[in-house]
Amino acid sequence: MNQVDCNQVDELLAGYALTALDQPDEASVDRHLAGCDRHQRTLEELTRATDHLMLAVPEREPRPELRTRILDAIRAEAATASVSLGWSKERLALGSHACVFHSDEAGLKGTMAFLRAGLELPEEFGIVFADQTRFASLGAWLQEGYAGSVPNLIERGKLAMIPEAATSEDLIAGIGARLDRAMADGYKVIRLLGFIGWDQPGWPDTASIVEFEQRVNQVVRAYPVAVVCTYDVTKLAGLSLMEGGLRSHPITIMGNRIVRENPFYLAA
Amino acid sequence: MTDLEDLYDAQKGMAYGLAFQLLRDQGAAEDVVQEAFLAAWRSRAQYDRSKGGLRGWLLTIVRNRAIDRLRHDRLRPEDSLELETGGQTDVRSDPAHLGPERLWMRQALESLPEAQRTAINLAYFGGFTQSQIARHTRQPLGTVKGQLRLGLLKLSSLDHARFGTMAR
Repeated sequence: MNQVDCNQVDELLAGYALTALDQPDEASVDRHLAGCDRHQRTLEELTRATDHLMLAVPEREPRPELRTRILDAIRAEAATASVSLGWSKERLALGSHACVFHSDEAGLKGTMAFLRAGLELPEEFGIVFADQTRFASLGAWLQEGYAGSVPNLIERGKLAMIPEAATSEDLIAGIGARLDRAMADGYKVIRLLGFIGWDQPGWPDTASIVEFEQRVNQVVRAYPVAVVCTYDVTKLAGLSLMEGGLRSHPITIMGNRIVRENPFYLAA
Repeated sequence: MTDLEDLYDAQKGMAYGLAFQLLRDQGAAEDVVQEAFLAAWRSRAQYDRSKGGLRGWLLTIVRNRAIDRLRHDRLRPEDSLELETGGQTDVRSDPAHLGPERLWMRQALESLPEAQRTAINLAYFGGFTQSQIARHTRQPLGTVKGQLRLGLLKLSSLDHARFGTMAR
């Protein structure tokens, strides 16, 4: 059957939704659906019902070996995906959470190269996470050395700036929601550059920020994201540097030096 | 997306159950479940949570892969058609262990006339085409088409009553 009319499709659509049509019929319905809104809508409803049919499937326990096999395969694949650091030739695997220690403005400005490196890549999404009073100046830093327009990137949803929140829960929720949206928009890789407002108004207290950094270690496992947090050693308290930086980040960076297995890192 | 390990642990029973139900072979079912989790991982950026839960999304991949194997690899000889596709292999068939949604779906399926239920079971959980079902149940093809159509419309209207919106 090459051409089918609407009446014939009425007869065939249930079989189509159940993937029970034989090949020629299936191809005919495919062609018909491309030009028929009414049947597309009907199919959507029937598919909802077939999707729910899956709930009736008898559960069956797979062998424990399957768990190891599948998780290993996915981890191996995830490990091969990485992003360039931008200011050096080093790369960070997706799922990384690194802190970069810097002691002057030039060092801090240099970290912008991490975001800039992804701006031209269609599958990548960038996030600046900072106190909103810094958005304008950070945007200007990012703009330096970038041929396109940073405001334009924000407007078309290729780059986002996420502001502070009063609790670590809200900070994580804000980041999670933006990551979800970037994924829904079809981005495959996300770079997040963080400028955390330690001891600033509108941010959680120091203890909560340490907790927040630990939560980020869970977030990076769930998304194709690499997170770089900036730590200003001239301004931050020793305790913040030690607990928030060294003990909470699996990877530490100073200039071009990168320590991939930070020995001070304590997994939560 | 939920953490990968949690996702696996939460969905392995239904994913493997569905693959095994269709393929009736441990090795093939394991392969399909692995392919589905990998495919889910690779295309997680396309996953749209507004179009249904993560579970439904993953199980759809499992089912499509299993059907591909059945149809294209001719993994299962056609004469192995099995009529009984109920809960006999369910490790948690005690209704107390099924959530309200799953229990409801089973009851909805049970409420169909037997011929419609059998046709839908064979198509959906057996992976058979309507002409295969017709041959093996020794019914005219038109009759099987009607059973699938009426059965699915009934399920769709029950679905609508529970979850909203309906087939026109």
